[in-house]
Order: sequence, then structure tokens, then C-alpha cells
Amino acid sequence: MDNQSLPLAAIGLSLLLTRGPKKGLPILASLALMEWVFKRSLIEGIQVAASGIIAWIPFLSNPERTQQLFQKRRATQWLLFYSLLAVPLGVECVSPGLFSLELRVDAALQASLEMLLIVPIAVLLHNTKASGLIRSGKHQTKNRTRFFTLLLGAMIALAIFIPIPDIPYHQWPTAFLLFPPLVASAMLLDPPYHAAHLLAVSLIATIGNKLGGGPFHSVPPPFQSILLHALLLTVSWSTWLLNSAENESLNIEKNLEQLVHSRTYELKSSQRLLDTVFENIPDMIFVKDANTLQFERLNRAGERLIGIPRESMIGKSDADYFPAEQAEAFTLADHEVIRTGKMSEIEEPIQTRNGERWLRTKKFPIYAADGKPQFVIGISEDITEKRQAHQDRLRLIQEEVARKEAEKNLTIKNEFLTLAAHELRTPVSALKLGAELSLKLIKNKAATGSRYHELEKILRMVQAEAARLQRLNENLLDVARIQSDQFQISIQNKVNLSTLILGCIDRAKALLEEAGCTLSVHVEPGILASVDSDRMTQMTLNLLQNAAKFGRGTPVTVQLSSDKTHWTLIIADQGIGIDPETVSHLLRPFERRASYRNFPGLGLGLYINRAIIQAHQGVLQIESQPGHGARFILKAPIEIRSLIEVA
Amino acid sequence: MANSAKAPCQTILVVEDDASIRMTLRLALEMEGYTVCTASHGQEALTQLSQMSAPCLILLDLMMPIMNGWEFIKALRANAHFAPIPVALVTAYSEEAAHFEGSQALVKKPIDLEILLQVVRRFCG
Repeated sequence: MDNQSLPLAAIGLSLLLTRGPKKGLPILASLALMEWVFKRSLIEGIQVAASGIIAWIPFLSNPERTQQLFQKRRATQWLLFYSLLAVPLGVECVSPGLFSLELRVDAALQASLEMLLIVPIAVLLHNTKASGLIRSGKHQTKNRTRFFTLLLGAMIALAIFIPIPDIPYHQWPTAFLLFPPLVASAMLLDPPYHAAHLLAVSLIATIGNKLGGGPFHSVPPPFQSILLHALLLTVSWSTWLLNSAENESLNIEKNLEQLVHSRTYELKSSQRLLDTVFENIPDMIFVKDANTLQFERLNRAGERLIGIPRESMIGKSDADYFPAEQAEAFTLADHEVIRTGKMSEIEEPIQTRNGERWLRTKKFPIYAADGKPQFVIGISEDITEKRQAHQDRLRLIQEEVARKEAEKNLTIKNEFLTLAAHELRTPVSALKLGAELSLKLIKNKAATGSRYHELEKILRMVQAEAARLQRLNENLLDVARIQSDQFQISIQNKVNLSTLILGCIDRAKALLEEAGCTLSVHVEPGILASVDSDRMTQMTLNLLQNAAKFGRGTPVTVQLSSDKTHWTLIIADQGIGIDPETVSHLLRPFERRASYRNFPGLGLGLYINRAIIQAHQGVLQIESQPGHGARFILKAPIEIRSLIEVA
Repeated sequence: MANSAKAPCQTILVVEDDASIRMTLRLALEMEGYTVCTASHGQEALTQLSQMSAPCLILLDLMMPIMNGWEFIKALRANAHFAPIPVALVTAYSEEAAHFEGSQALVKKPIDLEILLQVVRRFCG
């Protein structure tokens, strides 16, 4: 093997290392085969492979680093790479015979020089404007550049190989000076043109060599051919490597571009999705700047709701669109949300171009990365219809309740009317009977003799019944007055209450005795109070009648006392009593504490009594237990300064 | 006294809590020649019955204290001695009374004297 084969072996091996066995091995094998075919020596072939391996020992230890070298197209790295190619040649020079090569020092130096020259120039040229033109230029420009590049390559090859005796191009050093431009021109081309370029150069080189031109013609025939091919291979592989690295980086760039493009697209489509969602949400969404509180964004629903084109709203604030008071409230709410950082939810009416709408608005702040408030977001649902429906429903329920209440009241009043009619019937019945009887008496016997007494009796009864009817009538009128807030009393000052009560007791005495009630009276004498004496009498008589009615056969106590400011009247029986539940019902009109079958009456007494005592600025208290009688306690101020009207 | 000859010794029990009506009824019936006993409620009426010979008719008010008319009829019908005595209701509660078993006649309030006397005559002759 001669020194010219070493770079080839090195390149083959580097491919093996960096591109994997698939690409590297066939090349290495073809090189070894070539050596063997041309030199008829198997050992020479193996030596090619071995020398390549030795040349690449430094890289073997760090394959990743090697890979990086090929991925980056920095001139210094390429320089380093090719300088290393010279190392085994240097080794050959220092200790000849290490690889059993017939090595000439000048050939080794020439090989090193070749590599040191080719690469930097090739790389420099590679980065020229022309390469950029080819890669990215317009189609027409591209083709023209390709043509000129091919022409340049052919001319350089002609210059190297065509034998012109007068010009010493065929000498080694001079010839090698022309190789770098040859390589560089090849490197400017993309693969198909690159192949054409190599074909042209190898044709010119072969023909030129045959004609006795070029640097190899003086070498013995078999080596001539090897050297020629080695040269072409060197050119070919160098450019291929550079191009592939270039392509790779181009690919990366391209990929990057694609990536950027697709990411941009993705971003755009996700932005579009967000926009679509934002626009189509049926609730109003607005975004305000946290500092200026001006609208940044507003969706379609918001635009429709407020009724103002959003283009005109962006950059404006609430004050520009809403009544001052409302805008102020909005601004306050915004500040509150920003201050607390909490979401607020509020239901409020707003004035829009389409009239008043009720909104349920959620507001919350959004903070920037530095923690400062950036936006206030608001989501408003138009609840006008919902609210209306709710209110309608509420009103219906209220109406229903009122209707039921009215029905109940009507029922109670109907029952009361029945009772009242019945209650009126009894005295009317007595009156009618009395009248008929009187007439009969007069007709039959005239009012004389023994019947005269009977007639008088009847007429007295008629008189009493008429009075009873009048009383009933008065009671009914009182209830009507109380219910329509027209109940009035006329207070007289310094009425002798003690005498009044004793008078009432006198009047009720007969009734109580008839009912079998023993009476015990404790009346403090000389109590002078502001009362309506008629009403006071009415109330006391009613309570005494009640005691006779419900406390039949039991002791009845009447007690009148006073302190500095108030008088107290207690009327107590020990009759059937009232259960606590009934006490609360008692003071309503038309409700009675006892079965009507046993205790006829209208049940208006207590209701009127309470109205009377309240008109005296006093209270009516009932203390009772079922079966243990009842105590009615009346307490009112002794002095009443003004005339009071009470409902 | 032409009427008294027509129905001698016929006794009527009037049970009525209202004193005026009680008195008027007594007068009216006595004028027709009947003997009248009165009671102001059911309990008193039962006591009266046990102390007298059976009346030919009981005129009964329904709404009364102590023992009302309904309770009285129940007690009356439960007693073998009193059960046969006819009862005429004298009441304003005509609807309730109409559905009430145990009575033989009904006189509505306000009382029409002639109707009352017709009923009385039917039972007491």
C-alpha cells in the first residue's frame, strides 16, 4: 500500500464510525478490494483497513465527539479532522517500515499538504454566495449557476490533466493547488449535478492521463490508475460528506422551520379555538385592564346584551356607557375584587340600549407573573327572564296563599255568620213568641184580671230581649269597627273605678247566683282613673258573664287594686279553664274556646275586651289551665293624657 | 177556660236554657191548659223526669250548657222508663236536627206559636 490510500481508508473508517456499518463497511471493503485487485496482494488490502483503524484511534475512544464533528460544519473542526489524517503519514515518515510500506518522504508531505490545502479552501468556498444562490435562489439563477459551476470544474480538470508541454501543470505541487477549487466547485452542486461533475472530471482525468498529462502519468501504470481513482474518490467523498453535513443542517433548519410553522399553526388554531369559544359563550364575558378599568375585550354575547358595538367599547370604561351612579358601583366592585383577590358574585340590574336587564355577574382578578393585578374578568348571565319567571312563580304562590287565607277567613266568617244568625234567632224567637202570646191574651180575655200580670211579665221579657238584641248588635258593630281600624273610646279623667266595678258586680250578681257561683270581691276603694266608663262597664260585665257561663257552680273572685301608676282588675273563675293552645286563638275574632253546643254565644267578648283595654293603653293577660279555671288580668295606666284611638 | 177541659192533666216538659223563651213557652202552654214543667239544661231535665210522672211530650232545645240536647236524648233513650216519651226538638239548628234520630217532631226557631201548638196537640191531644 502506498501513502495515497491512507486518506481514503480514513474516510471509509470515519464513515463506518459515524454513519454506521451500513454505509462505512462497503466503502472500506471496496477500498481493500481495489488495493488487492490492482496490487495482487491481499495483505496490502488488509493493511489499508488496518491503517485506517490506526488513524482513527483517537476518535474511537469518543464516538460521540466524532459524530458532533460531522454534524457541525465549522471550518476549524474540518481542519482538525483533515490534519489528523496527516498523523499516520507523519508516523510513516518518522519510522519507515512500520506498516511495511515503501514510503517516500516527499509523497507523505505532499499528501499532508494536499489535505491541509483542500479543506479550508473548500469550506471557505462552500460558504460563498454561490452556494447560497444554488440552495435558495430562483430557479433560473440556480440553473445558470449550476452550469457555470460544472464548466468551472471541467476547466480545472482540463487544466490539471491536459498535457501542455510548455506549462508544468503536470508536476505534483502545482497540480495539487488546483484540486481545492475542483473540490469546492463540486461541493456547490446538489447530488445529480455533483455526479455529473465527477463524471466529467474523471473522464477528463482518465483521458488526460492516457495522453500523458496530469500528475500521475510518470507513475507506473497500475499505480497511475489507483492514484487517479484515489484522487477522484477523495474529491467525491469529501464533497459528499460536506454536502451531507450541509444537508443535515439544512434538514435541521428545514425541520425547525417546519416545526415553527406547525407550532405557529397549532398556536393559531388553538388561539382560534379559544376565540371561537370566547365568542360563542352565551353569557357576556368582559376583560378589563386592572389598572385603568378600561375594556380590553368583550364577547359577542356582551355586545348584544349591552347593545353597543364593541369596537367602540374597547379602551373605554364603565363611566362612558352607564349612568354615573351605576358606573361608580361597577368601579367600586372592580376595586373590591382586585383588593381582595376573591371572586364576587352579584345580581343587579343594568341599563342597556335595549332597556333594563338583570345580570348575575361573577368578577375575579387575574394577576401577572409578578403578582400585580393585570385583568378583571367578568362573566355575566342575563337572568332577566329567569328572574321574571321566578317572581311570577313567587307571586303565584303568594296569590295562592292569600287565596287560601281568604278562603279560610271566609269559612271562619261563614261559620261566624251562621252562629250569629242563630244567636240572633233566640231573642227574636222570644220576641215573636211574646208578641203572639200578648196578642192572644188581649184577644181572648183582654188584659184583665189574673192574665194582666202575665201580660206584664211577657212585655218585660220582650223589653229584655230587645235589649239583648241591641247588645248583640253593638258587639257586632264593635268587631266591625276594630277590624276596620275605627274603634274609638272616649276617656274621662278621674272616673271612680272602684264604684264602677262594684256597680258591675251588682248588675251581674243575679246571673252569677243563678249560675251557682259564690262571689268573693276585693275592691280597693277610691281608685280614680282615666277610663271610658261605658266601655269599662261593658268589659267588666262581659268578663263576669263569662265567669258565670264557663265557671258555673264554682267560686268567682273579683279583685281591683292599684299602685302609683297602674290599676289592676282580676276576674277569676274555677271552671273549665282554657288549654294553652286555645289561649292564642282566643283573642282572634270569631273563635271560641268552648263547644258551641254547650256554651252558646258569639265568642266576640274577649276580642272586644282586648281592644278596649288596649285603647286604655293597657294589657289583657289570661292565665289558665284546662279544668282549673281561668284568670283574666287587666292592667292599664291610671292616667292617660291623650285620647287614644286603637285598632 | 175552654181549652183546659179538652186535655186535662197532660204534662209537658220544656227543656230550654234561655229564660225568656222558657217563660214564654210555659205561659203559652199553660194558656192552652197544659201542665208545664221546665228545666234549663239536660241534666236538670233528667232530674225532673225522675221526680214526676212521665210527661206526654218533651220540648227540647239543643244548645244548652252542662248537658246539651243531643246528650240528653242519648241518656233519655238509654233509660227504659223514659225511652217511650216523645221528644219535639225546638231549635234553630234545623239541618242538624233533621238528621238527628230519636226525636219525633221538630219546631224551628223563631218559634211560630200555632205550629208549636199543633205539634203539642198531636202528642198530647
